[in-house]
Amino acid sequence: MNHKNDIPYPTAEQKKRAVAQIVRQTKPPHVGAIRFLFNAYREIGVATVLRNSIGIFGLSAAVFAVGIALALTEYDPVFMEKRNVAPILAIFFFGSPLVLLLTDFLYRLREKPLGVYEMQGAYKYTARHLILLRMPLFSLGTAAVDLAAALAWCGLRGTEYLPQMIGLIASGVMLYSLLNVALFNRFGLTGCIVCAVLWVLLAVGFAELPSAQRYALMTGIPFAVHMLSGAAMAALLTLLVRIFYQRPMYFIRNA
Amino acid sequence: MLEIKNVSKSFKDFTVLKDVNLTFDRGVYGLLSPNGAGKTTLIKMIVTLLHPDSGEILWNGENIASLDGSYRELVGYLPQKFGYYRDDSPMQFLTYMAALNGVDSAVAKERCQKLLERVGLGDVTRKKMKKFSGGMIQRVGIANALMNDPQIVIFDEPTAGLDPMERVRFRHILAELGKTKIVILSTHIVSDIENIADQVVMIKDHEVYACDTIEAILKAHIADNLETAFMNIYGGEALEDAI
Repeated sequence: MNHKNDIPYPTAEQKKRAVAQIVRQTKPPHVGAIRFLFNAYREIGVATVLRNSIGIFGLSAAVFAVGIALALTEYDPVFMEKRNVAPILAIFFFGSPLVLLLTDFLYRLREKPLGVYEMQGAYKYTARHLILLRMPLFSLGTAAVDLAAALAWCGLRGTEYLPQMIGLIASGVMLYSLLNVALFNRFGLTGCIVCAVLWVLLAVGFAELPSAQRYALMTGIPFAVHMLSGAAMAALLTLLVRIFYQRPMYFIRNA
Repeated sequence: MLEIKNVSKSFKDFTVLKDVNLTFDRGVYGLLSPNGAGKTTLIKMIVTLLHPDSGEILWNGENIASLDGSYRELVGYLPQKFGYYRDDSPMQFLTYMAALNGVDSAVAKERCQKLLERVGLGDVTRKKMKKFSGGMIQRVGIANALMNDPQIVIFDEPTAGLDPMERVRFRHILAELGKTKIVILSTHIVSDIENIADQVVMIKDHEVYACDTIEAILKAHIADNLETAFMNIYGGEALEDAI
């Protein structure tokens, strides 16, 4: 007796559907922004992330430092009404992310003619991923530049606004970079564009406010801003320390 | 298995590809057609540098757009214009690229060394690439494409600048890769495809004209060799390009 014809073998279509179902179930789940950062820093190393870009960041930070020095020398709130300090404070909050945007722009300007930028689009971590991974790290660098400017300003003019300046510096760059990472993680490149546009709209909206309101906004919520910026900074530092503790060689990979 | 289903792509008003349907499994596939037929556009969609206007590209039944980085980990790509950092040595460059592809650092250096030896650059791993010839740079690119042990390897004009000996060496590499991976080779050099491709894909008038073995194509177009078949299929188009 031949039972071969009785065995119900799956058709090619049924096999394909079964494979697709298995693949779907084992597809990597969507990860949150912080987990994405953690996985990426651990996998490719902080040294790899910063490779080929520290010089460009240094140039952007220097340009920003010159700009902010010029802006600070224009204002002397000792002789002007206090509320006119608001623009200075706003520069630290809204202006600091410009360093990140400038770094991004210069990096793409250099990399695109080389052809590496496009080629990296086919890698697990594309050039866009690298730019985002650099943002929190460059935010720390930008905060350091701003802090130096703020301390210089306060050294000359008095330390009345030093706490607000520190809080605004830290929160401005950290919020922008983490928001950028979160939006990119969820929406891809569109998220980055939305983030930049939103930030500019926020700055323009702020500039439209009456001067008294601007002053109130920049100085009226110092505690909340400090807490937010402190939490963001602490989270990033904890992340980096954790990576270093777990896999120290990844910190200096490719160094 | 890599499937391309009803994929179309246009740039402004110009249609580059129309309703492309292809299936790639293990083996070497040659992509052969005149300039401007859409080969590079098709390749860029496979490696996710471009997105199709319609249709989908599936890897084992799953849309590659949704797989994101986990799909790109499986792809090795050598573009037509291979970008590199002139002040890097091939070892520095490849270990950097290995890191970006998620290759563990513990194995990356050893793998880079072996790959460079495989492409005949074992003696110059520490030399700066600005001192390399075009052929040497191309070989670094080939090594780079194989860095992450990809399941899909795509070469776009890989033998440009290679001398005959290097070309033969490259064919051996391709033949070996084709046993276990999907290898897609886009080139104008018919002899490269003739010697190693299991199947040839030809694009004409923005659509897939043929996707078959070389023997079947030769039989269908009554030709002794692939170059004659190519001329029979593309006729004036190819001659205009040549002139």
